[in-house]
Amino acid sequence: MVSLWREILKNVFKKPVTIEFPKVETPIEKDFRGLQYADLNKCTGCSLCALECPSKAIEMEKLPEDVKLKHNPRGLYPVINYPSCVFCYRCVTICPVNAYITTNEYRMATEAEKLLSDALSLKTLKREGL
Amino acid sequence: MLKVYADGEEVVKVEINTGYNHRGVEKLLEMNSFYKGVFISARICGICNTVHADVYVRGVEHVLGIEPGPRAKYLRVLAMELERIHSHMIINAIMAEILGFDTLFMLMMRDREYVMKAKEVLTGGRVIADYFMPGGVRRDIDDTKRERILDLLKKVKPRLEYYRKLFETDPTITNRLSDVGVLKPRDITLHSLVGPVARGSGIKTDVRMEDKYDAYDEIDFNVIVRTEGDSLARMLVRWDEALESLKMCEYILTHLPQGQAVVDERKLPRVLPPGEAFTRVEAPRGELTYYIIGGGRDRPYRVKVRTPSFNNIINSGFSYLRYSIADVPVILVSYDPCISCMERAVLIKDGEKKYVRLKDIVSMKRG
Amino acid sequence: MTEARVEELDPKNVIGDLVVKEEFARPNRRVFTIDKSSIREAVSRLIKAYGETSVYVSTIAGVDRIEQGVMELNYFISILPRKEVIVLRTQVPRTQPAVDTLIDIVPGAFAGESETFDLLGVQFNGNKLLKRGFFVPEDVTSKGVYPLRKDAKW
Repeated sequence: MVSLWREILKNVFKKPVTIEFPKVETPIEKDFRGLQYADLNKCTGCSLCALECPSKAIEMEKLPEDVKLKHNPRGLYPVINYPSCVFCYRCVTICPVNAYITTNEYRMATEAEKLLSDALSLKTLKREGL
Repeated sequence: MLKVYADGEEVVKVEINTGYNHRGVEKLLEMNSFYKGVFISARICGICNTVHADVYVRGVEHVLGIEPGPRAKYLRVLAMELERIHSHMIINAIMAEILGFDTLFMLMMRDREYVMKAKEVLTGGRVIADYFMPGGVRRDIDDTKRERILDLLKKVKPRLEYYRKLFETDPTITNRLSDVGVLKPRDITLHSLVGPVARGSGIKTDVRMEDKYDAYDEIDFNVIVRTEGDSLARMLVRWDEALESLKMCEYILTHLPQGQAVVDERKLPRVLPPGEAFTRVEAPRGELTYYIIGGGRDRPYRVKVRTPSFNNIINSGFSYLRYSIADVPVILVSYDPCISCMERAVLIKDGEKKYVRLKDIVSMKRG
Repeated sequence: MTEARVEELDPKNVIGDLVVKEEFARPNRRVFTIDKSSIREAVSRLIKAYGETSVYVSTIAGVDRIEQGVMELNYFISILPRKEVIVLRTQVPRTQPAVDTLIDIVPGAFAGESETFDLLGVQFNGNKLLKRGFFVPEDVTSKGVYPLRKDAKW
């Protein structure tokens, strides 16, 4: 008969396996499917990501007035609504020019201003004077 | 879910009530393109998402007429077998929990975390592995990842053997589980029960051995069959299957063929030609079948999903009779109920649709 | 009947006289089209020929073919000693879809018949346990709509 007593005694003297998040960071892989946004230096505004998203979380918006890019004649860029996104990464793999930047950021239960995809995308343009 | 009519302590009648979670998956798969269907079908069930995606992708590949390479087939089998290990661990942990054995539940869930870490290293997601695509898989593994998965599996193996020995000899578990819910072989095939439920009563049926899909024709494994037919036999079949899966994973990681595994999604065909395909897969809970009809557009004409819990739970109302009420949860958990796999109906909301985007929340806060 | 004889028995020989047409569904499943009045005869013959513990009804799938004005019913039957799945296909008219039930020969058809009735509206004569609202929620059943038909609007 296998007794559970030895197992229990062994575990009494071990430290708990609980990870005290958010004091300690959870160990996560570098290529975990986390937050993603578009790099506007490469995006051509073809809208394939918006057409292929299974949960219709991507909308195409017009670029700000003063930004004119040669590789983006229509002047559209994708904006992702993260509460609808299921992080399947279909947008990342279907993009013809590989314009998506992927991270392993999973901490999305934060204030809404920090999660705006248009701000993240526009920051990639590195405009002067801003 | 189960309406049980009892006379004193003895069960006299059982009615199965479903329909609280119906989500309209079959209609949804008809209204979207068949590439979106890869992600929709994975989200029918959280714990069997790799097998749902695999059987849908194989059905689409039969209709399109393309076939994946050998390395992709081996990696698909690796993802499915890792999921089988952690699915069997969680149902045994739930069985320990409903018996009142909470310590064992917590210990098993701690060891299950190693398997989920291995799945995260392989596919990029701990629970939902969006890993399958017609023509192959979406990620490849290199040598460092291979070594890490082998290390994690080496840590899990002695724990699985310990738990299996515990289920066979511990009096708390064997006294509650022996001779409860006995099913004869004739009951199994007449009522179409599948999976470890059938293998625990002497019927030797396993879709991996019958259909030999993906890489199962090149990997050796045993089909576990027991003849007692009670709840203890069904749980022990699952532990033996988890140990077999672990051996299969180690074989795959040491014998991976070379070649191209990742498929370029931009070059795949856009239209599903007319044709039909019927594919099956061995999910952790039994035989899962998909029937896909293509219609010449980018949407399938019909997709029929029949999950193992559909047959196992709805057809098994006869097996609770003449046992006492305390045996009803033991019998139900030994059939491995997966509620989201069972209830896949349509939930329609009439009235206008309202979308709230993240930007609206931010502007509502500011203004 | 020894084991070798059961494995070599071709299902075409068991139900051959009822078959109207034979086709293939990928990867290698044989599809036998039979008339809707001979479904019960075909299934009982298969169970008697192979044995009660070697045959089970795996899936019942209904398809709405609106252009041809029929509904197709597919019964997927798994024959264990031959490791094969065969398909029995019938057609019923779309305006009055009704077929005989299998529930007294094979009680495992209860789940498939309940779902086909609730979602497509096919009546199974002799099955007293069919009811609307088994899967579909009440706001749809109160309008008398069968959700999976191609012309269903709610």
